[in-house]
This record gives sequence, C-alpha cells and structure tokens, in this order.
Amino acid sequence: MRILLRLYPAAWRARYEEEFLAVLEERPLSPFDTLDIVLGALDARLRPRSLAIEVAPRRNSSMSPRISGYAAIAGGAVALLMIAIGLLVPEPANGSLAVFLFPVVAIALLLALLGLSAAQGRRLPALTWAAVVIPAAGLVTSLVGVLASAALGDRFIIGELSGWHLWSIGLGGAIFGSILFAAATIFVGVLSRGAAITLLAGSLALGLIGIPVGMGMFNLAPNPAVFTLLVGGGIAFCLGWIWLGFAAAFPARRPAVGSPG
Amino acid sequence: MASGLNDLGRFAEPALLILVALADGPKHGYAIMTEAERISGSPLGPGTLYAALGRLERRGLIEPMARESRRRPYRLTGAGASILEEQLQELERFARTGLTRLASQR
Repeated sequence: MRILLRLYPAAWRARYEEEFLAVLEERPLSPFDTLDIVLGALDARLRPRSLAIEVAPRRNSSMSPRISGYAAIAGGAVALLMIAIGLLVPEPANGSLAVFLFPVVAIALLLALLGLSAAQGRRLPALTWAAVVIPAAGLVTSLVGVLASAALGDRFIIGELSGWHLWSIGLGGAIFGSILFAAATIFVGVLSRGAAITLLAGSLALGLIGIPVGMGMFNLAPNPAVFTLLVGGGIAFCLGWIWLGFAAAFPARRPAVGSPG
Repeated sequence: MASGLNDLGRFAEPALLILVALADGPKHGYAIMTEAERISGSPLGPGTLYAALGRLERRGLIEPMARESRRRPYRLTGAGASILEEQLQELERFARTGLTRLASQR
C-alpha cells in the first residue's frame, strides 16, 4: 500500500498519508481501489493547486542572466576570432578552422539567446516567439549544416540540399533573427540598448550585404566598399553580442535608495 | 468562494456525496466512504474520495478536525452547509419537474 502512496507528490503525502493509510487498512484493496488510487495520484500530480495542499513555488527554470551573458561573450569572441582567421589565414586552412569553431559559436549564441530572451520575455512575452524561435532555428540549422558538410562533403542530405546549403539557410535565419532580437532588446530596454544597437547594425549589414553575396548575387572581389561594410558588419555583430553578454553577466550596481553617497 | 459544485467536473458527484455524508455530523475518511457508497449504491474509491476531499477543503466547504489516532475527521463548514442546501434544493426542483411531467403523461 505504501508503494502505491509513493505515486502521490510529497506535499500530498505529508498532508494525507496517515489518514489515507487508515482508510485503506479498513478493507481489502480491490483492483478497482488500486486503479482509483493510481488515478488519484495522477490527479494530485497534475492539479496540485486544486487540492488543499501547500505547493512549493515553482522554481524559475530560466537560465540565469550571468550564464547567458558568459555564453554571449564566448559566442561573440569566437565569432570575432573566426573573422580574423578568415582574413588572415589562407584557404583551405581557414575553412578547416571554421568547421571547428562554428559549432562553438552556434551553441554559445543559442544559450545566450535563450537565456537573455527569457529575462526579457517577462516584460514582453511575444519576444520569446518573435525574436528567439527564428534565430534559434537558424543557429541549429546552420550547426547541423556545418557538421553535415564536414562529415558528408557536398552530398545532398535533404532533398537537393547539401550541408553547405543548410548552413547558408541557417546562417541567414540566424542573422535575420538577430535583427529581430536586437530590435526587441532595444524596445524592451532590459539589457543595454547600446549593445543592442551595435548588434542591430551588424546584423543589418550582414543581412543586407552578406546574404546576397553568399547567394552569389554579386561578386565581392571588385567591391572593396562592400567588403569593408561586410567585415565591419561582422565585427559589429560580434561586438554587439559581447557587449550584451557583459551587460547581462556584470550588471552595473546601483546605489540603494537612501544610502550614503 | 465556490458558487456550486459543477465546476468540479468529474469530482462534482463524489463531492456532493461527501457533503451529504457529513450533513449529520463529522466523519473520518472510511466512514465518509462507506456512507457515500450506501447513499449512492455505487463504490467510491479512496483515490476519488481524497481528490474530492482535497477540493472541498480547498474551497472551504469542509474542514479537517484534530486527528484521532491515525484517523482525521472532517466536518461541514457554514459555507459547505449552504452549498449543500442549495444543491439539494436544485435536485429537488429537478426531481419534482420530472415527476410532474411523467405524471401528466399517465
């Protein structure tokens, strides 16, 4: 009988267990009673607030801003390193390094997005959907793409899409999502607006210039101005994330009201 | 405060049976269960009994008394007695309407 009672939540057992056992000891347990107890336990677990038991307040499951901040700093810094490698290290070595570094960037920025958005989402719940799902989906897709590309080369993995295609589509989604995320961050005003403006500028530059270049709509080589804008956009994108990370991980201490000084 | 028992869903009927079982005085769990089974003629499982007791207690329609050994008696509160009276009057009106209509066809 006590085994059956273990199906109930601890708060319920603390309140009712002894008297419930006293009831059960009054008559032999039938299959009907056993099933009824299992359903009762399910009810107590699913709807504890409808019962007269004290339910412990739900722990905040969102990631702490500090951890999200560290993730944003790491993601931005490694992305900056990738830009430096792209500029300074000749091919094909830079491509091999990118395969190793990009997953770090994608995972770190994914953690940052989820954590930082959770902090902002309390003020503007729609943000969670509008500005998180798209960049998160983009980052995951691009991560799958880069791993597939490394493992399978140019082979098609979904329809006529290769890993490289998935990476490109995902990156486009992540950049477009970053525009949304930065705009929402500016609007909500919980995190640094300066950082969000930097991220917005970088994301816009990458989106407006980087995506058409990536799609082969125009050649980069004869356009030094475009190249400069693209690199500048990439750097602003990385700095925006790093700045957001610092703002979340090391929030400025404000003097308490009425405290001296 | 609850305005009735209808929003208790599948626990509305067991809750009404419990209130009726407690109408003539406090009872502990097993006595409530056997009394409810005697009134309704159908079994009331212990899981359902305590799910309904928890809901009634939460709404302030019944209250637990000091434990006697391992058993804990429950009694109706004033609000519980009012709700029970309201529910029974509603059932009485329903039964009277049904019986009147049935009699008119004979």
